[in-house]
Amino acid sequence: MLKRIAIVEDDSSIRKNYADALVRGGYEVEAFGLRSDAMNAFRTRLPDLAVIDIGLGSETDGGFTLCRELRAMSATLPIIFLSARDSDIDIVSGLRLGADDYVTKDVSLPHLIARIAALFRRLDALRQPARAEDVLHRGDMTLDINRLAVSWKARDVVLTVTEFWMVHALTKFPGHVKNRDQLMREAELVVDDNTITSHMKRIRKKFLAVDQDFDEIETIYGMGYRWKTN
Amino acid sequence: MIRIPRVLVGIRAQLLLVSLFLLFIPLIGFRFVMDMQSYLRTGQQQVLVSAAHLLSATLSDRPQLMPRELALQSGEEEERRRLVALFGSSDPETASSLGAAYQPSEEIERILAVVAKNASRIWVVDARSRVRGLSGNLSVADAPSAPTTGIQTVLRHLIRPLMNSFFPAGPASVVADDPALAERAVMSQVDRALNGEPTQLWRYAKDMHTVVLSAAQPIWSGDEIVGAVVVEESAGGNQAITVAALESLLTTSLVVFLVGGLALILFASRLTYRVERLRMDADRAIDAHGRITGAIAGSRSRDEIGALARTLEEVLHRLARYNAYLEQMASRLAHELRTPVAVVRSSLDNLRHADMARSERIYIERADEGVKRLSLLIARMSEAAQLEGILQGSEKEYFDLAAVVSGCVDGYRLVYPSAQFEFSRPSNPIMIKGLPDAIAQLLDKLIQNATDFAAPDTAIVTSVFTESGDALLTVENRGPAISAAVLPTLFTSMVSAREHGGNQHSHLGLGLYIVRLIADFHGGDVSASNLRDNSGVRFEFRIPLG
Repeated sequence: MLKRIAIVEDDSSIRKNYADALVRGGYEVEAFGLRSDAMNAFRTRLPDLAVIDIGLGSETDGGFTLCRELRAMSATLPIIFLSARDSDIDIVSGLRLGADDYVTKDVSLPHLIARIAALFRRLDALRQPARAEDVLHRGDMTLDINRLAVSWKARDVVLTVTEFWMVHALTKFPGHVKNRDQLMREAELVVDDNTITSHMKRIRKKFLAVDQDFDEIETIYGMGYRWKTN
Repeated sequence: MIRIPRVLVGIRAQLLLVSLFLLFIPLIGFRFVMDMQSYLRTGQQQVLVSAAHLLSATLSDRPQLMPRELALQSGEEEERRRLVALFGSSDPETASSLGAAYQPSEEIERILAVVAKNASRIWVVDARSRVRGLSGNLSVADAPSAPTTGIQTVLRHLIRPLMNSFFPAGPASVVADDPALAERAVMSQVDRALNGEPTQLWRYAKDMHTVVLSAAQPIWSGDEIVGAVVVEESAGGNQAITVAALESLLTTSLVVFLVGGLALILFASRLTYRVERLRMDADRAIDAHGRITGAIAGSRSRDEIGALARTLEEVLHRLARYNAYLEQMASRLAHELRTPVAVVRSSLDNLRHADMARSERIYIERADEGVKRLSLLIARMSEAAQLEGILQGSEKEYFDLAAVVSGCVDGYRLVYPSAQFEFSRPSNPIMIKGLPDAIAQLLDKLIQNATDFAAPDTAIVTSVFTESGDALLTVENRGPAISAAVLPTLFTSMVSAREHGGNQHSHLGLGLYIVRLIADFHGGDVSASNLRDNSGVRFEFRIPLG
């Protein structure tokens, strides 16, 4: 059965382009221009994944509202925010509302499709037992590449896809310094230095939330970041 | 050009200068008082002249009162001089001191007693200047009282020359207050009367305060002059009024001047203070870079200065709004551009999957290349726009600036393999308070700028040191100098000193703007200057030690 993806985007050109690309990628696509249209359709049937723009027509924060409503209907439905805005506040608010990822509109279609695929893979993997070969152990940390799940000292750390890939890039070869460009490439991001900085800050915070003594990510000023080896 | 101290050209000085016109008011008052006095004197003079006239007419009817046969006695001339001296001196005790010259006729004295009035004296002399009749005396009771207070003395001294200088404009001239001159004048008056010429004379009495008016009239008997009548009257009453009026005028003027001047100075000082405060506020409100750093407190007063302050406040607000609009321009532009870029990009991505000849694919790749560059530009623009928010949301910490810079320079050697970097780390840590990430970003931008401009095979010199309580971070590169015209605006958004845009590096002039944002956030200062021999450029970031 084909996975159904809902795109809620007020710009018709982008909506159609994304819909075409996703259809070509083997998904069934429902595209909506307005929040009300999307909600009406969702009440009848939930999609398998939703790509939502934050500003919808006259509603500047319509996407946030929609995300909240969708999350209320399903706790597991993967939601990706797609927005022209890239301010920290927007990203943080989006992720706090329960979105799984946040991409800016200048992301390339292959990247977007890769992210969608990764989210589906995580969803599928959560239903299956973890396979040993897909699991990376680094000291107290365990990375399940299939499920895009991370645990620290046996406690789950909930990361977005972007954050997971950044952590993955850092831990693949611990002790190696990863510069911003490398991190961006790994996370398939087109962002600036600030966004990398704030991503790293958020990752640190998430780890600190499960372990107050977490201090494994080291900033090498002017170069990048490094996962400490013990 | 001669520099004039501001105090001399200030509002206070100008107001005081203008207020000098107030001096005309006491001047006009003085003029008025003097005119009044002169009218009074004219009246007095007329009365006196007519009295003298009447007397001479009365006496001319009685030739027997002026007998010629009275023989000259020895020493007559001597007596005559003494007599005249007495005329001149206006001594009230005249009669007793006249001696042989006093040969009164009862008849004449009777007539004189009828005519005489208070504060006047009448003499009748015969052709030989012998006094035939004398009546009344010059009372000085009505003369202005002697000064009693210091202020009055000062006032009198002020008034006296003024009054004297104004007398020539009066009805008759006052003989100077020299007794010898007065005496001569009286002598000539008597002589002239005996020669048939009526005269009037103002002079000072012996006490030198009272002004005395005397009118001399010949007494005719037929065609012959048989004697003369001299009527004298003290002008003390008039004079007292005049002096009192002048005194009160001067006192009032002085008080008005003092109070008015004080009020004017206070008023001008308040004006000056308000204008000066407004000027300083306006000066402080915008810094050397043209940024709005403060607000002008709008005045609530309803006058023009209050209105000016409110207008300035409003202007500043508008300017601030406009500045904010300009600074947000990059962010808005980035936001607005992302959607069309997304349209182009997704269309190109879709187009790749269409059936297409190889020759056509080249154009897709080129278009894609362009869109990627556009994306990069947008990312840079939003970087600057976001930075401020990120900085505000972060907490400052104490860290070693030298360590951060040292780490950064190691990184640059990897990132820019073709460039050379020189850096010697100071032995002591240089602790500052701030965001190490942001400082690293600041250095990134300075180094990026330096590598773009550095001449081939020259090193980029980075140094960290302390100087008078500040930590200094400098980056120097050899290469083209920056023109003086661009230097002040170098750290402004969207200003680039680049002469031609390179293909690999898109320059929006945002890098140094970011440097400034970070420097401002740290309470530091960033500046650019050309090296002394114009062989390169030096950027300096200065921040107070933590």
